[in-house]
Amino acid sequence: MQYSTLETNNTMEQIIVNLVLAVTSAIPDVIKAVKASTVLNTEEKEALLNALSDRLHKSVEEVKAVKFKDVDNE
Amino acid sequence: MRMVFKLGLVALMLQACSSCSPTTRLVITGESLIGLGDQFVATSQLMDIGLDAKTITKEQYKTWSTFGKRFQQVYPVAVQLWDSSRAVGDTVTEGHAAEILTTLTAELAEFYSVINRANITKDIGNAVLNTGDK
Repeated sequence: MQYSTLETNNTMEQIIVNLVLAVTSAIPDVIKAVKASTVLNTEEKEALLNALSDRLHKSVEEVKAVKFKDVDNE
Repeated sequence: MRMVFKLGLVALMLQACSSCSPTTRLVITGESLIGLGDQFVATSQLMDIGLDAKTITKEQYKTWSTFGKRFQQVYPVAVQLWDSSRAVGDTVTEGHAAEILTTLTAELAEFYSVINRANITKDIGNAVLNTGDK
């Protein structure tokens, strides 16, 4: 992921800019992958989707591994 | 302005690609889901830091925790839908995964906003997530 912060004078604008940058951080990967998907043959597309599937399942494991603190008992 | 975000950048990207090939849509949805998962993990780290530093209140953290536990249940469902869509070539199922993606992104954005207001910064890998107001 690539994040950055732009200088702005307005607090709300700053929040929005950061949010846009954060949420769209995957877009370069998407553009790259989409470009690839339009020129690949069937076998290559299958390999691309297999790799994407593997990354998705790894992501699920990372999300599930997140722990939350019990603030009531601290 | 906030509502604009709720309607979502990711949704915009997916809707813009409504006429794309099934493979392209799967790539967009899949990459976006991975981005969302990464963002959830990063937000979680920042919420923990904010709680420890007391820049995030217990109430805010409890709200985050409730959302986070639901996210942990819903996110795998979206990935399962993605898998199913790919297996059977069903664009409707892929659309459901995209809907979940859009909803979770909008909700996660609210917590990201909280982190911004709390001015929390953390190094994440090679990148630095700067959330402070200037």
